[in-house]
Amino acid sequence: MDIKKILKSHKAQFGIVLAVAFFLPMFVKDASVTHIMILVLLYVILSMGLEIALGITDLFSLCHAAFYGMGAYVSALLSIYLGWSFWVTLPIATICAGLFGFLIGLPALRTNGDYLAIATLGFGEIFRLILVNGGDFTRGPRGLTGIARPELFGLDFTNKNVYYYIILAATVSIFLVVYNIPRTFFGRALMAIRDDEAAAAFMGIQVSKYKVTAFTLSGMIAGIAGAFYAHYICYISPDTFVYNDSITILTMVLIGGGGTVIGPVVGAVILTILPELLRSFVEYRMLIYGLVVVVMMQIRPMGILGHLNIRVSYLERRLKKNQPDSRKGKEV
Amino acid sequence: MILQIIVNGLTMGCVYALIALGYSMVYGSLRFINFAHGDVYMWGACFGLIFARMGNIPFLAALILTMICTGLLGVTVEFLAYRRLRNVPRVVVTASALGASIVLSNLARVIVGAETYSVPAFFETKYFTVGNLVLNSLQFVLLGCSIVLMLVLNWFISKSKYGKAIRATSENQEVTNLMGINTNKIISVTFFIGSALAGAAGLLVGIYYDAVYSTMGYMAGMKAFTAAILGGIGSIPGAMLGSMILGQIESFGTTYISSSMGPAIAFAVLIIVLLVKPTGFFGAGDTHSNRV
Amino acid sequence: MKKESKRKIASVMAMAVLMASLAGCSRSGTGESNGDSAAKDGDYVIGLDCPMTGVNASFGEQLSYGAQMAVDEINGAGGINGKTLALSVQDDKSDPKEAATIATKFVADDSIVASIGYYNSSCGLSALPIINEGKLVTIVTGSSPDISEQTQKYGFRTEPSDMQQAVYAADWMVQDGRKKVAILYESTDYGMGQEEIITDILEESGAEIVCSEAYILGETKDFTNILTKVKNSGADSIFLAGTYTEGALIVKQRQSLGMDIPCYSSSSMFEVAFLEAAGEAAEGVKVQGVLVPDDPSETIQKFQSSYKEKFGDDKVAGTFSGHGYATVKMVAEAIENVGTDPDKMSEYIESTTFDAIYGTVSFNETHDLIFDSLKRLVVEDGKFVVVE
Repeated sequence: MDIKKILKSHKAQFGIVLAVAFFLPMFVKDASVTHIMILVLLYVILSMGLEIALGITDLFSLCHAAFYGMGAYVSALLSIYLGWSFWVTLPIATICAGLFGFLIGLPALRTNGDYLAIATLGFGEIFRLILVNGGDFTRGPRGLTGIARPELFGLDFTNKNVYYYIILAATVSIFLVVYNIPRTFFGRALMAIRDDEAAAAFMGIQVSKYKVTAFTLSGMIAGIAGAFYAHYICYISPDTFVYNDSITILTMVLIGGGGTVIGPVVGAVILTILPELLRSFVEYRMLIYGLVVVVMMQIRPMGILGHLNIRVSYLERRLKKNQPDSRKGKEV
Repeated sequence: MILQIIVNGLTMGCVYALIALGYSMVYGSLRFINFAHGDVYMWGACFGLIFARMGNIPFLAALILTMICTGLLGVTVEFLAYRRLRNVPRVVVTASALGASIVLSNLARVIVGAETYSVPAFFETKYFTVGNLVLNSLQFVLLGCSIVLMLVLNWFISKSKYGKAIRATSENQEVTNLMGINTNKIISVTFFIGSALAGAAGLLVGIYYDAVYSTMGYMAGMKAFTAAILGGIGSIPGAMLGSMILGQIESFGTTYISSSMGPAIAFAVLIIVLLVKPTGFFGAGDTHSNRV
Repeated sequence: MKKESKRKIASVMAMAVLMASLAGCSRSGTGESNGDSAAKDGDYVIGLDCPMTGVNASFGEQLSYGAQMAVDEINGAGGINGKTLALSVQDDKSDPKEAATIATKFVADDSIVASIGYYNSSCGLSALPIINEGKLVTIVTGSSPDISEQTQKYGFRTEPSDMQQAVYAADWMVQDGRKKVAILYESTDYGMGQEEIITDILEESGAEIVCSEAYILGETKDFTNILTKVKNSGADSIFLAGTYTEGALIVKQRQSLGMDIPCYSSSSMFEVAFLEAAGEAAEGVKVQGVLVPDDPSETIQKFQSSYKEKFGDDKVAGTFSGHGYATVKMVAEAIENVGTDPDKMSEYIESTTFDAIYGTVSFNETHDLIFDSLKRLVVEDGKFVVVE
């Protein structure tokens, strides 16, 4: 077998990345690097969630941070008020975030594209304002302090490596699920809806059912990340889950390449590490970050790993046929 | 009390309208949410601040200069960040716009500063009391300027040659191109006008509240987009009507429901509108936006 | 397809080169744990976490300028026991997630001996568990009462807590005989905390809260409706719980509505920037504070003049410049006396009475700085004047 061919197979690539991710903490002595690696994993999970809605189904959602926050708050509240273990609150948080995704998915049936984006943006803002005005229950903008750390077989959860491996396990399982979605009937239906909704409906796909399911799944995955975050940092507040984070996750998916599953992972890794590297630029950090986003979109509009998917190649063909000088305007 | 609330709503509505018109026009021709538009509005306020600080520029000249500056800013953003992205899914252009928005707001923070700045007055403010109602000359200036600008825009779009080209471009870019119209140029003109109007709004708001700061763009931009959708996106009278309605909803909402839930009320109304009548009041329908 | 994959590889490589070069920059810039550059920058490094971008960027600027001034002064006077001091400024964007990351960095970096800043209470609360686990002496400036519970062994706090500020303001209002009070507060931990406390105290003392309205920091600009409501409620005074940006808008719009109602506030309105933003509308506003810019005392005048000299004439040192300056001095004093051992530093800071820029101060058992010097101030002729 040709070594190049082996390296090109997704399985081999996945194995290499997994091995690196697994052995990396053993070489890292600096706890702050481990912390950043944990953040990378959380953002990988989040962008996986958005990938289902945005990349695979083309549902433009701007409230991913609200799902993230829903997971974090449900888990934290259950743990604080009822004293439940993290391993009980995690699935409940996942389900609640999924339900939230389901509710937000309902307008997706009636609206499309940018209208959906603005509606989800509205939901995100309403969610944040509810947290802020939640009185003694959510403790408003003061946030929830003293969230308990998880317990498992007497492991020491003040050690960041323990968190890292547990979240890595979650990330890998979620990745495998999302990676295989496009290979299932469900995933193909979602992609059919993405490429042509009317044609998909004509082929007998229940568009509404699939769209809502995509949103629900997307919410559930973000909810998992939220629960992990809450029990890792041990403090959450409404400021933690704002519109800006939805935007960050969105750019992660798009820079990596929406619809490719692996792309968003790459995007999440790059866009989590980049601001950390830029730290010493303090005031110019966000400026550079914004420039990188704009420039990346110019160089690789479909994302770093994005291939020109069916929709665009179809469009290009159409443009070539109808409008041979479509780029003429640029030269004039 | 009620009258005061209506007047406040009207003032806010005019500001939203000026921003929303730009949103609506850009959306009409390129069909993506130009997130950087709110930051162009913020830059309008910054230019206004700079001109006001010079001290010897009359109000009208400052207004026109600001509009030219922000117009050019809008064209530059379009040229650098969106022009290459005509044939890709709109969500990609949106991401580019998000990046541009981050760049613009951080640029303002670096250049103008991080504080909230008060704007030196162009003219003296006079107060009028009618019964319980208190009005000031700034409100009249704001209302007057917005109405004049909207009338000019309406004339320009419906009567002038460029206006026709803009409408044609938003109707069907490919065919317009085939008709021998340079659509890229028309899109630049659209951006110039939309950004100039946003800049005017920025300047007027900066003077009205006497406060300019680098993060003022985001929420104003979002509310203006909400207003544009409310009225029916792509429609100029729709954007005006939507803005007026949003202004009133906000004004009454903050007074009678909860002042800290103000934006939530606006968004809740938006979501209801999207569920009941997704095309807004004057919308031609969502058919265009489904077309890639 | 071939071209496609080439471009793909090229862009990944470009990204990698960019990141590698940035990594190089950041290492030499901040002096990471294994970088030798830390020793060149200063033998002791103090980490400063503050918002340098976003809505609160102006406070971050104040903190960092104040801290920088203290560092320069100490180095100018020969450093600490012959070793120099340096500052590592990190931007948290007012985002608790960022603050947690920065705190982790500070803890992991061996050259960092203490950390200060954390302007937002939420950022402080997010960082404090990490700080205590990592044993890094930290002085935060957030005002939330929750911080008192979270400071534990290594955390301290300089800003008077909401409790102290609100009690102080309420006493003043009661003394002035205010019976019908309207409260306008921002919907943040700061505003809501103050609103709660001041409502309790005023109601206990027999005053009536006729109107209590929240607004959103950085978003609400139009207060005319809220003020119209206040007007109709028959309130005889307003208490403002929020930062000066909105405070300035409120007092200006109050004036343009022709309302002549006295305004009270706490230390958040005590900023020269408030006077500049509000102009003549600020006249008569009653605030409280610890560091008076126009205080004739020598230390403060010297502080103001060297601040202006260093950072430009348009910059005026505010409360948070004072905090930045004072906390660096406290940390330096601790290092000078007991070295960099966190336990010893913590004990030293706990037990010492500091002669800080805001007078003689010390920390209580919950590690909150006790200000005997909280002063009543009123705006007269565009200046804060101390009320005796």
